[in-house]
Amino acid sequence: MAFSRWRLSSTAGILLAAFCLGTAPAASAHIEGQYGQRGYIWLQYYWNGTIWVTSTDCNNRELGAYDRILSSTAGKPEFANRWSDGLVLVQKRCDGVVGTQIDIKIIYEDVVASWWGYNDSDRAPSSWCAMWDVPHPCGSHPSRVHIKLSSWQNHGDMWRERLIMHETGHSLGIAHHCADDSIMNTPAGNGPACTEANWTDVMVWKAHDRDAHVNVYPNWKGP
Amino acid sequence: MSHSARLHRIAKSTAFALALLVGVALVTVGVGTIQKEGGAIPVANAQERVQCSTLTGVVPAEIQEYSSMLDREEGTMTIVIYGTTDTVITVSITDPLCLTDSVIGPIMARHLENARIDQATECADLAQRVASGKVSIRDRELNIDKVKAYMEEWC
Repeated sequence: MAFSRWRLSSTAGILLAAFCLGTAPAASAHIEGQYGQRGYIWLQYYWNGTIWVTSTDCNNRELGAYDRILSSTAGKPEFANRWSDGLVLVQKRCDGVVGTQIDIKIIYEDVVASWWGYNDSDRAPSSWCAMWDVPHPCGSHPSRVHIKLSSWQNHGDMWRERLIMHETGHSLGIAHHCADDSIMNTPAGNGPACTEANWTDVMVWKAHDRDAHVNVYPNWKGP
Repeated sequence: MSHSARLHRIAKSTAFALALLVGVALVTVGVGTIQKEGGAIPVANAQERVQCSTLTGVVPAEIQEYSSMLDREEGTMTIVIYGTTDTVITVSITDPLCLTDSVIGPIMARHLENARIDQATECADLAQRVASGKVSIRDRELNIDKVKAYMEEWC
């Protein structure tokens, strides 16, 4: 009896301690959906996996970032059952205008702040999902990526592509991840990534980034 | 008391103290927790809305990055503030306390303004398509009555 009680309280203690100290698998730690169902683009995954982007300043660094995202997601084992062709982001409009078909809007703007970029998303209302004949909730419409123009102008091509990859990662539903090198490393102030690596040391989606992404869309059944 | 029994007793006391500590922490936070590398962070959901005063002490300079999600149907905004400690907060977009909060007030105002602009452009886009009698997007023809229903609600 005493031993059973000890075992019970010890197990509970260990489980609770593990819960609070954060020993969960890396992927689950950066699933944005756990943060209040926010920041994911669900609808287009019912279509063909292509994400349409509008930008206030279409540029080659955006294209470079999209190429990197595609090459580090296409044909990868984590995506084998879902998006085997990889994540395809398309520079659809260059006027920054959100039409019905747009998933992500990229805005370059002058702001006084310490951050380099941020992300805001609107959850698609039920009548919008109904318009597309998909059940609600059906993701964000749209998700916006805001880039601090002065930081953008003060950095090189690699840094810029990394920032676009990071912020669109938020749009796709992935949160920060500091346990390993990741495309979702937090920028540590104006210095390196949170792993103390250089911000531009990671220029691809890592396996745990792909894992996290797959886990954001657990009920995805394909087009 | 044997050495083994003493070890069991120490382990038991430690486990109990940990469980108690965690329990107290959960009650203190009061809005539930979510696990994250390095520890637990406070999290709120639509059912357990917290007041903006939760953010007391957070200053804009400490914000490394933030993300926000607007739910127009629920009238809520969920904001994740990435800083020295991450904070997740879900608030009513009509809560005057939040709208005037020095940290999240500007975030909410910017987000609402962006949402308004994009809604306006989308509505204009849809109106043009509806006027043509056919709404075809991404090689798919949408039911025009459903498009109108969406427009009636949000445009």
